Amino acid sequence: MDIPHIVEPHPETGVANAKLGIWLFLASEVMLFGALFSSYILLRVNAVSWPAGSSILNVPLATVNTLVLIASSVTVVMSWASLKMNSFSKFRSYMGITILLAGVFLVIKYFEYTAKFEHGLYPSSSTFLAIYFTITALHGLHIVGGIVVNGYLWGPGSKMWRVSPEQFTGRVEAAGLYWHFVDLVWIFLFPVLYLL
Amino acid sequence: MSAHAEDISGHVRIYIAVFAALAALTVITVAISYLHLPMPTAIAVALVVAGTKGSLVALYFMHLIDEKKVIYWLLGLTVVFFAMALSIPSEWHSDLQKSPSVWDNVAVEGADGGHESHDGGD
Repeated sequence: MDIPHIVEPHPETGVANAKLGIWLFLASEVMLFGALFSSYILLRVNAVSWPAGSSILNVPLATVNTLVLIASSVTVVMSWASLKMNSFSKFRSYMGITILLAGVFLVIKYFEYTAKFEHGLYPSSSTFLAIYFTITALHGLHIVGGIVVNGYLWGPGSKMWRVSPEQFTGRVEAAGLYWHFVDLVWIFLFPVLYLL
Repeated sequence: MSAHAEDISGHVRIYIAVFAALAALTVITVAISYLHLPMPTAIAVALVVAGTKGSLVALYFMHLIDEKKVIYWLLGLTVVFFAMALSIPSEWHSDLQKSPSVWDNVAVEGADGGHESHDGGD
């Protein structure tokens, strides 16, 4: 039995179920990170003093990471656009670059974290570092999740393109929406943690 | 989206333009941070720049500029709850002003972070 409205829009919502599903998931993600942002504000406004992020964190590295994530957002949307233009080989290239850029982001984050640990700076060292490690580690886990999903779509999952190209394009769009959200969160994390 | 291939090529040009704008805004926000503006101004400027970047991503990369009503309703509801979550600190802040002793431990930890001096370049 076929599951209805995987490709064609549901008459009630006007969108395919996968798209509504991913947006519902992203709404829950907004609340997850919203709770952490709220905690950050609560901790900061009630602290007697608060360090400037740039005095503890490495702004140039984080700037590079911001550019890396923005670039990966472009490549993931280009991978979807390539499928829409019926070019599977371009999809593979753009999605492959997206995964590589995600890896670069994690490697830079690894260097940032290890530099902090070498200086004896841990989540237990201060309230600022506690919230910094909590939020950036959660964001990092989202990057790992994105690599797994995008890696599946780049590799074994791409077999679907031959049998059901529209459904596969829908999957890539949903994965892309998730990836843009991860980029969106970092766009706010970067100034809040590093620059203010 | 049910766009045709020719429409998609038009989208690709927009994606490149948005990427350039996002990269430029990232450089601008970092440059502004070196001006050491007063904190309220710095917060306002940083949030305006981040909001602009976020809007570009949401509108063009996530295609919210041309989406179905059900998605807008869903996101509108999310924004309401998100705003409620962000308003909690102001409620707590006023309560804590009345009984600050509850907050002493965290405040002291925050102060510890402030007293540490690191040159950041690692």
